[in-house]
Amino acid sequence: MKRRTFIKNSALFSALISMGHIPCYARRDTNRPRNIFTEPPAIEPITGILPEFDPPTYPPVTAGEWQLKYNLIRWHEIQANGLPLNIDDGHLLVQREGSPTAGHYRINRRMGLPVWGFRGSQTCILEAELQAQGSAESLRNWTVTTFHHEPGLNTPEQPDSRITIEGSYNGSHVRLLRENALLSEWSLSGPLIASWAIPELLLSNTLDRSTPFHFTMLEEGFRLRRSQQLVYEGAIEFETAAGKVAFDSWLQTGTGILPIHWITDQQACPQIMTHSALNWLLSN
Amino acid sequence: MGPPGFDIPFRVWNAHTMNTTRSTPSDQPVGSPSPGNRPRRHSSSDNPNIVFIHTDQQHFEALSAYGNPWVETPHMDRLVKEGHSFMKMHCISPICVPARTSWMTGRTSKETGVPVNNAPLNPDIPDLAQWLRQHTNYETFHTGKWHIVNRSERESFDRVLIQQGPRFGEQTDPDVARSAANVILNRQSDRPFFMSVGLMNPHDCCYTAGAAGGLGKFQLADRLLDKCPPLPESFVPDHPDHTRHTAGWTEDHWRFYLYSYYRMVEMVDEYVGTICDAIRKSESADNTMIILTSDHGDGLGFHGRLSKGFLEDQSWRVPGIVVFPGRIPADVRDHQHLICTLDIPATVCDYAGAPQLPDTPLSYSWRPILEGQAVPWRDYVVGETSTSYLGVSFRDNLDTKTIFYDDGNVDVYNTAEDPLEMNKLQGTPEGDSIIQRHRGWFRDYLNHIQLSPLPTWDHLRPNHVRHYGEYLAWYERMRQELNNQEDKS
Repeated sequence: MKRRTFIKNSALFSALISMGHIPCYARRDTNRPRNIFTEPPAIEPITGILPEFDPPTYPPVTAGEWQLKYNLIRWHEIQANGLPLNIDDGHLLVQREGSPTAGHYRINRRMGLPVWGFRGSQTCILEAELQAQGSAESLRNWTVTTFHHEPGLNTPEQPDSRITIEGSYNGSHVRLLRENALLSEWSLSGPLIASWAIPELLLSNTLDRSTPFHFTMLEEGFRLRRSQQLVYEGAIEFETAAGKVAFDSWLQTGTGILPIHWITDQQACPQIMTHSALNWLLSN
Repeated sequence: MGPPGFDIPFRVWNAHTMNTTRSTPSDQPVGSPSPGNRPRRHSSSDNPNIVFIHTDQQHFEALSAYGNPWVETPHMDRLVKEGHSFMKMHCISPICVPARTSWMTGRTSKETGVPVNNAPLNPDIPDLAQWLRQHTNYETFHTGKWHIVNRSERESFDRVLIQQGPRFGEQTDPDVARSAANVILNRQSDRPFFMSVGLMNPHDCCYTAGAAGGLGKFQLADRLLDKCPPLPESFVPDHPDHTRHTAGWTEDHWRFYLYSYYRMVEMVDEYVGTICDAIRKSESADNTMIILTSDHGDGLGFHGRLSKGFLEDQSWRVPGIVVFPGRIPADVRDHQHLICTLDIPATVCDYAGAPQLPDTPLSYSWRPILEGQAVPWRDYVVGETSTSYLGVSFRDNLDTKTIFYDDGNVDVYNTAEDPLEMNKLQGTPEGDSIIQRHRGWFRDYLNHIQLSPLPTWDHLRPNHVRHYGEYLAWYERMRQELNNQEDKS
């Protein structure tokens, strides 16, 4: 080997070792994350699928009227290459109609839960209608129906699995009823916002970027997540299938949730929601 | 302190003398049940519905009702208020599959042949659901996490609502809770029912992006530090058992782990609320017993440990709450009795009017305690682990604790004075005295269990055989040594 080639190869090898890219030889640098895609943390749970994500483009949104379809992306585990294994478990369709201050939402979610030791999955379906009012889109009334199928493909609905819950919020009490019988009741003040309606909060551009927004979140149509706070985090840029794209990031924290990031495009539409295991990715 | 009639004077009592609520050993196979090993206490119409709710990896103090200021659990707190809290509740083995196999069989992990995760249950051992179906008219339901290998929940229960799916509570717990609530509210049958509800969280702490490779959202630690709990007094930053996930964590990252963990406890608390609200609104609310516990705890930074598999209290102890409105006193904090998740089958069988599961001498029915009867109770409780190390722990009624290791070492604590297990007493006169007493418990324990032979069935992995073989050899050695010592004395 020529001296020049030897020096060149040695320098390259040394550089790779020092960067930790030759694991067998590299000294373990415990202060560095092993997933090289963890920056920024807002997108970390879905970095496995981001290279395939082509952010949808669309005509300008008419105020208060929109329809968003998200894929439900599971963070499953970290693969040997340092990237998460992301799995598409179904979809969530959110439709909003009405005026900017009085919204009517229709929700359809179809999620497959893989079954251990069984080929196929068990499909769980959620259908909801919600009435919201006011500048913060606080809920007034809602109905949520859920049911699931037997495990397997094209299987029938499981007997007794269908349940419909009706909810209402009068500004001081949340009440859940089933077949007109009271199921649960909680005291509450301040806005009550369904997780599915947070896109409208962001799309409407009514939030003050310098002040945290406080609310209670209605999750799944039947559980409360109190003391929620939504704050603007700043601009964020990352690689997608369409190249490097600029977004804005909002951070939600509160009781009963891990930090949630809402990542909005230039029209303030949330294209990505990352939580932990279950994340949303806009499909159209 | 409990209600009147609850204060049982301490007495040293030998486990094998108990005969009021325990089983008569039986070698009846599953398929050919006897008419019953002992008379039923009640007619079937008296038998309550029993809803057994189990969370996953919940620390025994991860409830706001017990004074933890870093978590809000209003629904579990309500159960505490309405029921009987066992403050000294332990799992038999602080890892998912061994713990779950034991609470469905009443047998220890060395009897079931399940020392580690993914080890298969000895097919000759019946489980609680099978037993109820054979010996009672109970209808049996399961939904959610099961995690017993070599025994499908569909084989054991009449109906499975949501079969164990992906390993994330965030994704499955809402549907699991709804499925349970649905059956409870819609059911028309006059038959009593037993329902096992497997909620996953806070087990998601094992899989958060940060905990399973890369810092992920743990990078938010510095921004949320004011909301993150402080590290425990016993925290050490350089514990040798640190997993690859925690290597390089700063103290802020550890604190963010605690923050995330408690949010997951809050997540699952809401779904416990869903199930319990349904029970309270159901037609059989007055005749439904709720048992809430967890398969094991979590290290939460105590001793610099994370997750489970070790025998320090954070991993070994679990919450334990029983609610039975109008039948047992409410708002009881029972600091007296040593309790084990191994007792669940005995308790369920007792209330269901079934004979006890066969060969379960260490599974005690809680019924006399719950109903305020002064009965002799166990002298010690035992824990076993094959994860991290091979060990056996004992806690006795004097609140002393030992962890015996297979290399001959023993850790000794006086947990009445040192609840964080920071002061090892081995080598002191007090420690030596405790070891001597606990060697007696070890001997008693070994003489009460029937070790499952080295498994030969399918699906074995080398580590199962190695762990199990090492355990069998160690136990046999200890049995001889301890019995010889007893003979000489």
